[in-house]
Amino acid sequence: MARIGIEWYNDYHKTANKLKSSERSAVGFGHTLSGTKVYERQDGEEKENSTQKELGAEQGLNKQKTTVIDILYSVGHGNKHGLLKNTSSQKPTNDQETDETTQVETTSMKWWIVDAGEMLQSEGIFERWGNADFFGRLHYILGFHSVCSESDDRGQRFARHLENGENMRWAWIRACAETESGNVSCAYLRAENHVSDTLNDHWIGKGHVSPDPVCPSILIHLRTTL
Amino acid sequence: MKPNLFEYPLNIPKTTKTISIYQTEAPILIENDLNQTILKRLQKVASYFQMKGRPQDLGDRMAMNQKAYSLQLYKASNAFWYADLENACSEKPVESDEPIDIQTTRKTANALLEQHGLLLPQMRYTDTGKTIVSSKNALENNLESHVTETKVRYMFYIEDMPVFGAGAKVSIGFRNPNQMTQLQYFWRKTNFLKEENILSPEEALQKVTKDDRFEHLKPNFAKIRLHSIDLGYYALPPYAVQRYLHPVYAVRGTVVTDAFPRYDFTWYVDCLA
Repeated sequence: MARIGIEWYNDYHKTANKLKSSERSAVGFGHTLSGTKVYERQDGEEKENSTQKELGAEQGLNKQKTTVIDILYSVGHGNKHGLLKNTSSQKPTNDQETDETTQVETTSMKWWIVDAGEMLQSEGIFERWGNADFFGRLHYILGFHSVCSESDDRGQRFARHLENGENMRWAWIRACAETESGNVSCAYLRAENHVSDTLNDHWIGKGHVSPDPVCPSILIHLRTTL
Repeated sequence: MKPNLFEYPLNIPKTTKTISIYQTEAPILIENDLNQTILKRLQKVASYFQMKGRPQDLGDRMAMNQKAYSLQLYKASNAFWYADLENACSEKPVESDEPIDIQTTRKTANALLEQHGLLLPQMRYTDTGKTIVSSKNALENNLESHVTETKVRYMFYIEDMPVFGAGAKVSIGFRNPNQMTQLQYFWRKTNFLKEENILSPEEALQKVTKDDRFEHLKPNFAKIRLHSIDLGYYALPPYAVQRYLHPVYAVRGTVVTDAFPRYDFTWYVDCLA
């Protein structure tokens, strides 16, 4: 069974203005996509989830370290360094391994969607996000090159397109074009190695899923105006 | 003097006291013959692209696929999106190294829209967009970048006022002036309904400053710069039912805090009094 994670940030206290659509977008994604929702975090607080407990208990390991997911949909403020977390002192970070609050096992993740502005801005993209250690088994990071607007249902639209059999990249481009005006650019960063074919990745059970591009030999960044 | 959290735009436009309300011609979803109406519309749009195939009901859209060509018609708005999925937003480099000639491509786009009655008086060419692909080879440490698609883009204007939002835009993609890759046509036809009174721009800005999005921000560590305010209309996304175009003020601004130095936003404020 495919494993789904969602996280969203609404309340930024003194760090930035509040967002009003993050929860609806993330929850809409989680409700629409087929699979088991095993991870849910709001404003940095992990929500209680029975599947998560069972997973931890079965493996006899710390729950925080064992939440294994295939896809993570994250919504909040962002900039080219990543998703902004909601404490007053925390700055955006791409260093998932050293982020003590990270409670998902990111090395197993295949797809990470960051519904936040500018994280995939093309300038310096490979230096910021192209580190092979960070990329791990990731097939894609999908997000935005430019700033983006808040959307209540971008997550749900993306999930719906995946459910209809669109591949990852087209499902994301469609969801963004449907929810943004024309002055916005969405983007993705995709990994390949000699055995993978991530260009044609679909959601699990809806089509081809490439073998993991472990130690990627090439990274491809695409941005397109909507 | 107490510092202020908000900086107002330098130029606040003078507006009229009323605005025209426009009803949309979107299909009514409870019509008994809705599916027949939508199927006819799908067949008509498919004929623009010489597409034939079995219609597929995707819930909010009716779709047709033929090989790598995809056509999706939005039931709520009559908007549609045609795409050659092998070449639209493609990673493949174009064969020619020559940059695409924008003037020729614009002419081709205009001719194509005109041929099918899609070039409406409310449409204005705005600019060209691009799909750009960059890649980095870990072994050779090569970095390559190329444009794989050029998009001719249009916005809509009613009574010289822009229609904002995802539901009012047209974009035609080309790999070269003779190879169209996609046509995204998001629009609802409209008819004048009545006049309504509106708020002044100053009143709309007041609404922005009272928004609870800003309740935690204080002037000693944050600043909210409101750059501009423009009167226009707002079109919902193509999958949403919309009875009339919402009259709005588009307020552009930037939130600046110590921890997050720049958050640019455009908010649409309902302008009806």
